[in-house]
Amino acid sequence: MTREALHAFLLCGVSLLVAACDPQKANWGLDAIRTLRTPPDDTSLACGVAVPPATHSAERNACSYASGAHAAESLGISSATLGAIPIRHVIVLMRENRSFDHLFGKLSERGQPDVEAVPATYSNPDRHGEAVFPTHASTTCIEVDPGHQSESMLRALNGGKMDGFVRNAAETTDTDGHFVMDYYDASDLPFYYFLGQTFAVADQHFAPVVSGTFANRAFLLFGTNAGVVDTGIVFPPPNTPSLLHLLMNKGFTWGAYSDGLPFSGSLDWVHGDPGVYDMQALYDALDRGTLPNLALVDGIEDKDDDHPTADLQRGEARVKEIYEHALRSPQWQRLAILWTYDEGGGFADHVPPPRGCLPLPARSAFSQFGSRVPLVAISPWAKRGYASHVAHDHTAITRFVETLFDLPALTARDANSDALLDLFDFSCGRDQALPDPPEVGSGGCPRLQNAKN
Amino acid sequence: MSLLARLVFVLVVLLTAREALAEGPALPAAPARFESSVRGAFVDAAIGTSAVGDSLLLELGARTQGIRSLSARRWLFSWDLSLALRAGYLANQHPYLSLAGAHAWAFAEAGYRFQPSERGSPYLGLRLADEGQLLSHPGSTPASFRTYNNVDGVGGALARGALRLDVGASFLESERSLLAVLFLEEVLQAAQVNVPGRSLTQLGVLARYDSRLGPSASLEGAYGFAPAQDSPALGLRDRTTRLSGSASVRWEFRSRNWLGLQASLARESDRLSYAGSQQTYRTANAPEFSALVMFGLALGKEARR
Repeated sequence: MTREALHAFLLCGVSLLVAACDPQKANWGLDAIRTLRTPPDDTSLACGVAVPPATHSAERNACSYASGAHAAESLGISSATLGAIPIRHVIVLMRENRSFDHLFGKLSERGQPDVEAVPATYSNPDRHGEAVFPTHASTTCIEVDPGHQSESMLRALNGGKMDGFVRNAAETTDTDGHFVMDYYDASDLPFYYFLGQTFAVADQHFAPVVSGTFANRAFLLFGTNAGVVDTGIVFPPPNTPSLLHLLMNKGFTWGAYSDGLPFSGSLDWVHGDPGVYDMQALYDALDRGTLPNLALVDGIEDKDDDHPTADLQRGEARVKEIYEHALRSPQWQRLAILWTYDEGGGFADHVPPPRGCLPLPARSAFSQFGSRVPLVAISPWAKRGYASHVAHDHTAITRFVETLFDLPALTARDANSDALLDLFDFSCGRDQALPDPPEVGSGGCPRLQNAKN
Repeated sequence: MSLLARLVFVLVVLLTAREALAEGPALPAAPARFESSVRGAFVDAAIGTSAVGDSLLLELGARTQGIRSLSARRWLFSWDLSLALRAGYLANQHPYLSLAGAHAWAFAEAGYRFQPSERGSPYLGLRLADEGQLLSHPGSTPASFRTYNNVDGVGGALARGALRLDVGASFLESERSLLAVLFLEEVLQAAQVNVPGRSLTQLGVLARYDSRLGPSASLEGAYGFAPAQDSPALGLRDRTTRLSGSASVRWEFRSRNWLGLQASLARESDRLSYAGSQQTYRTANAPEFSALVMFGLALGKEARR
């Protein structure tokens, strides 16, 4: 008997091992998005909505609002007014790892004089104590990736002195780290500068947390980092309430578009997961006027997502492609594109980030914003050539979507966030004509040029 | 193959084992006390995979574990008490997070055999169990885990206790014992870094085979559910369920040293219901798996002859 019993138990053990080796991952339970149809836009929505400036800023700064708060309450603007805003489709074009100074360091000299300029005195000491000042980048495809997870970024921000970027880069790459002081100009990235000059740019927009991709993107979708601090292996629990749930609860739709990993891999989603599409599907949706209410668009990692070692000019071409489809779309008059970067990627920025609210005050650890990153609102309703100086993080994008679709706040972070409304003007009689965009930059990446040759 | 199908497979194998036991020799006329136990120092290594990453943990500690009949086989008392230093790595970040600390677990179960003179008897048992762990990253405090990627379930402070009622059958001979029971268990777990404290009610099945010489083994499967967690602000109700299974084998050598193998598999699912919209989402965490090998060095007993 003993031998038979032992064999049986060993067999059971083996079966458990086999079961465990079967590759499985979390299930987010969002299959309903496959059949949910985007509701028709309310045709009565039009220009002429006078959105007053948001009030209650003292309450928001004091983190007075909690999960569940609606925008009408936290912004002090009536639901009727917010409900009349004619934007019904939002594209969040979240790129990777560039700070404001790094990408738009010369925007104040190139058509957006109100944008905060890099002070002439701003520098970072290198490992030898020599001051490194911002320098015009010599390539659009930086070959190394400076450390930009929590430990690195804390070192780079250095308690708000903003002087540890070069040393951090030197410690995390096999270089002197000077390259993180590089900036780009309109000659390198003409289309990116065109967007920054033409539409509404926020020059006090910050990554939500002092860390890398996963945690910062989690704030956008969940209003919290959901247990994720550094990019890599840990993902938010799939039962975390998300913006996707809130939209679907009210019959609104979303889609994640990428030819690479959706959400830059931060949710461990792949093509085939519900709501995930390739870029051609985005272009088709724009062309046919079938865009979901929220489209989250990501590039191909290290290829066209602007993350080093990607060539920024290739990313710029991708963004221009999206822009051109958007302009031609029958949904253009109902559309806002929010072009931003998930985090600064270890590139220098001179503005000390402020603090936000703890998402879940009893359990959260993170109130400190990360590096400043570009945010540009591209829309027929975006103020032209406007620079906003309101401080916020990616949960302001979350709050913007919540505002448009009358959704409750996920956490205290988005509940107390500004909703980006100062970037827009919904009055009638505005000039709808847009200047022709320039060609995207070329020849900035010697590596790719050599490969072509 | 679904987890449920796998567990059914395990149960089929379990029944095979029971059949094999039923073909054993008849009981001796006079009941003798049965005991199967190990006691001593141990070292073990466990690999695991979970929602917070893969782990490799080593332990060095002391353990006493066993089962014994009392009062002419009217009672069966089983126990497990282990205290260990634990250290290892959790791959929840690049490259890894090193962890070190202490781990303790224990259970004691008193079971009543209604027909002590028979080989097979109905069985009713009551078990108390607890587990505690404090596993920190060297140079930091457990509280600082809020600033690390989630470690819940592997690192940090862990405290849980359980009360279990077993109902089933005991098959007892002089050299071996088989317990096959259904159980109802209430598990209380303290809050971790990201996971709030909770209770879990589990229904399960356990089969445990012990022999005075050679191998002992156990198989367990359980389905658990937690009380609904409400988030009134979002109109959200979250109901958590958990499906788990485990298998373990222990082999005691003539020297009384022992070798143990253990594997477990579990998966938690959630049903999110939003009151306002009547929308429901069924989510599931990534499966948790662990496999452990243990070597025990007997202390305080003479080698078998």
